[in-house]
Amino acid sequence: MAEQVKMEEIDRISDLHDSILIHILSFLSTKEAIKTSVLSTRWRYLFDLLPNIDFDLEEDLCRKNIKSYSTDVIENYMCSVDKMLLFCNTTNVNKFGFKCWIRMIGSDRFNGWISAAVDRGVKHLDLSTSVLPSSTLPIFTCKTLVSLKLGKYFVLNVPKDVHLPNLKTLHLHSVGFLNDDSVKGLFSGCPHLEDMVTRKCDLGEIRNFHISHHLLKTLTIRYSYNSFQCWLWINAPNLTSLEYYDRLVAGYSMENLQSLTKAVINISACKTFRADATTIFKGICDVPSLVLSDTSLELLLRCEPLPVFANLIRLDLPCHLRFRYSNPLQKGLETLLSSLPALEKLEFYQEVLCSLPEEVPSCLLHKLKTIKITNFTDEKYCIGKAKYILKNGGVLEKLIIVTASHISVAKKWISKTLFASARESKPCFILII
Amino acid sequence: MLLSKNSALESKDNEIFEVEESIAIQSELIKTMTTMVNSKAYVNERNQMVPEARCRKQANYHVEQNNKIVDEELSDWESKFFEVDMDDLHELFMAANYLEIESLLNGVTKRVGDFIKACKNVEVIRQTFGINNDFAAQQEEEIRKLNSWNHI
Repeated sequence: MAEQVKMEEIDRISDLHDSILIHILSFLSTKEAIKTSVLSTRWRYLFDLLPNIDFDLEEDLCRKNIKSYSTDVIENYMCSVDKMLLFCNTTNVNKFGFKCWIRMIGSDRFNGWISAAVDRGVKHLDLSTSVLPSSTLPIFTCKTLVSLKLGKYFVLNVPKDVHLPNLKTLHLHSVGFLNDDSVKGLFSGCPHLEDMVTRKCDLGEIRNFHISHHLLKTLTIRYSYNSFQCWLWINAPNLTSLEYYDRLVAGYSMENLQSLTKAVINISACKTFRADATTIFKGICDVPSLVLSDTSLELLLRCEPLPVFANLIRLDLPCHLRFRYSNPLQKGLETLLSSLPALEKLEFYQEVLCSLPEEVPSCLLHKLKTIKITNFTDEKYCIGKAKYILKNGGVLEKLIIVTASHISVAKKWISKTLFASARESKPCFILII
Repeated sequence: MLLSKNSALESKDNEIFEVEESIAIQSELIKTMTTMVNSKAYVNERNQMVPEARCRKQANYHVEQNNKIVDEELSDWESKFFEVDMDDLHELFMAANYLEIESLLNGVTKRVGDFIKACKNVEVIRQTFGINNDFAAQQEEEIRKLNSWNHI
């Protein structure tokens, strides 16, 4: 604020209509809004009418050390939550968010909050707590719920009748599943689901993780636990984005991914290479944009035969550690290029290109417009890679070279060499960073 | 530039503003009135001169820059527009409320919210807005006890 605010003599704000004051309070955090209850009798019960209720115990109580919480203060805090949820049941609740890491809430109390929120038509639930919710938790039959985010130590005890007709967004973090049926029940009970994220979920009890949904648009799976005995089944005709960051599971089935526009397959290093990832790549082979980790690339190159990515326009290979100490027999990006006939944009770490094929890949001759090479060095073989690209890139418009951090002094020399190098595409623009 | 229909708006202090129709109808009130009376609307409001000009400036800005401007620039402009003292803010509010201009109302209420956030404690909020503490001592004590975790 630029000016010093002068002290007002006339109170013009308290006369405003409830809805205006609520609108003003909606810009404050729940904790700040509650403070206004002591301003005057006019303000005492206003915060009760706020549609968005957000409590984060660790943040609100500003204490770092678990031992510094006294039971009195915690109880006092919980009573405030009680008050906002339970004692004003005429207005609708739009959002209820509750984050609490310490094990100090009784599950009955917690259930009471959720029931109250559901009764008041809650649309967005964002819950992170180590309370073990009971099976009677009305979360799964809430007609008004549009987004549900559950995190941290929930054991998802999905009842047989899941009925979430308006749910569009589902985020599950650190959630465990009881059995295969609970997974199926979850998806069949959310007919309008569009966005799903699972993160660090425990799949120990699951043998088949079935994601079959006709409307699902985005799916992100990150780092599951105990998944090595599990099969992953994905059947989602409307899926446009798939992001998979995990170790390999026992098996995959990927069907009906015809709407996919972008896929990120970031398989983390696996100890055994007997694992078969062919199904994943076959399932996504029509995708236009793809990001692969170095392990994913290695697994892809082992597929016999190598799948053709007929519609792939953009390929991003952001990792290289497994290619760092390449041996002469190792296959790399050069093997893949022949299966990418439509490729126009390519980004990769120079190590991932293990050799320079005699037969120039057709995408390099006719399609590739933009190429970005990272971790570039001034060594002869590395320069050779850029020269090869320049010599054969028939329609190349841009070549971007990002040098490795330790060779910044050699940048000028690299520039000089490459600018002088023969290039097939005259208008090609070279940028060295 | 397309030649769009212009509305002439007259404020109570008899000042006439000519505004492009697309901007004028950002005000719900004017929108309703113009459907009744063809191209002229009479605005009946005390002390409307300055706020009227400001409203117009903001609405104009929004409409013209709608497609071009980056979110950052718009929010910079907005924060400067609302950096006024309580009196002016109150005027803007009355104008926005009467003329029913949603975007202006949002801007004003957010600014008031920011004022409250910036206050260190409840006493400062009371002083800033001239709120009179009409609690009995016991009542106030009760509320403070209920919210002891919040350091009211």
